[in-house]
Amino acid sequence: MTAYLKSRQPVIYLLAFCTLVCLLQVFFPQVPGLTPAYGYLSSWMSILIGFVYIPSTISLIVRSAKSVQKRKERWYVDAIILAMMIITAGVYLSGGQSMSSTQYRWIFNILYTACQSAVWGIMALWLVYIPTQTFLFKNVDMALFTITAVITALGVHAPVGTAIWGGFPIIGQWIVNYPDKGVSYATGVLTGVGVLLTGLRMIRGQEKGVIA
Amino acid sequence: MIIAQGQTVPFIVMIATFGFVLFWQWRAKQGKKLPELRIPAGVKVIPQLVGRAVEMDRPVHFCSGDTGLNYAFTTALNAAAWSILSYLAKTCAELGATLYVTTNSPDKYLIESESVHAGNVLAGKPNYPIDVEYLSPDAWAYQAKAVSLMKERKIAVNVMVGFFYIAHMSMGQGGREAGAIGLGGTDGGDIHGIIPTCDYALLGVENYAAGAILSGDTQLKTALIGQDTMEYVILGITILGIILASLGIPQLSQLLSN
Repeated sequence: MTAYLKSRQPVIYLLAFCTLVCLLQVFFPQVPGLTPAYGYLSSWMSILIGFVYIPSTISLIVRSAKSVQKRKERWYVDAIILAMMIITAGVYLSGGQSMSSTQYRWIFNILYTACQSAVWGIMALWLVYIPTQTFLFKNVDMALFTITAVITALGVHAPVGTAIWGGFPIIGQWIVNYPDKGVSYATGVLTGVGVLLTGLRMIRGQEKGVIA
Repeated sequence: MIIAQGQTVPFIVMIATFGFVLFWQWRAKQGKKLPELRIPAGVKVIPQLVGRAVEMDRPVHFCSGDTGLNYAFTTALNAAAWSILSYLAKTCAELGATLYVTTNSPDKYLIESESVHAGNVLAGKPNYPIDVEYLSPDAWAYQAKAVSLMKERKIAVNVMVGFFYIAHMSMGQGGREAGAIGLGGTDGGDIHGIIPTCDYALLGVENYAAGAILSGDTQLKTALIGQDTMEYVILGITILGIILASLGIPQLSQLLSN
């Protein structure tokens, strides 16, 4: 019995049952009991996901602590992470376990939001730089990509395109309306079939990356 | 009607797809010849990429997107990514390469650890190191730290397969600037970030096929052939629909909207 419970079979059967309930609920919502069962499963998923925060947070603490202890490269960043984690948890617990306490809100509004905006600003410049890579004609695919991108940008998104040549908006809109939509739908349909089959392989325990 | 409104055609498609898979499995059991599968370049190249990392004595980085398990529409792509991760871990363990995984989601942290472990076990090295790093739940902070690690560790290979909301371009470019060869894979609107920044790309349905192809399992091969059969049927219906709609006959589109 213990060997059976340790094997992959119970996990596969449990996964198959949950998947079937979810699938049947989509197609047959009026069948009695299916919708409440789906609700229970969703609630259990939220509970289980709540638990996985524990090992991942422990791993983050351990790795940061080791980095500080061994004075690895940029160990001071890990020290800040650890300090902020302890301070935030302390403020939360001492403030009546409430996220609306003055101190907690100060941390969120003054520190977290400001840091997030700073990262946003830095990454935004980085993101502006990256598309320049697209404009290099490295091969035929990239050349097509670039030509389409330039025409669409000038025709649909940048008013300067219309000022340069009146044909840009017509060609740009045609690209958006026809090739772009057609390819998007085709990719969506084919992806849907792929998703369906991946689900089937998961139910049967054949996706070894999932049920290790 | 017992089937929910608007779900009749999807239900028939699902049953038909499963039917095609069972049909090809039956043919395989009969010992009849199966059609050959095309192996995507992005799948074939994985051992070469890992070999490059070994020769350069630099690590391989893997990330499976910047979303967690709470988005239902990304789950299948995540599952496909973990199959690739498992194979990548197996190849790294066999060739002696260093693999590290970064994640921004606590729920993916455990699964990715297990996927790497599964790969190590398949390689016959169950004690090979597992390095999965949970960086931050915030996507911006995650990509900033991940890019920083790529440059710090001078990665040789950057594998990023999964659903990306915002991190695809910066992660891909971060890998390039670290001197890494990029292998990207996605099925969504983030394709535009993968193509310019990665040397190899798994696009759309190739991601789902990759796990099955890499396993080398006949059962999974038949599932892929079943999938392709359904895709041909859908292609046929699409062409027929275009012709009928062009001739002003709306019956097919009306039938498919059920």
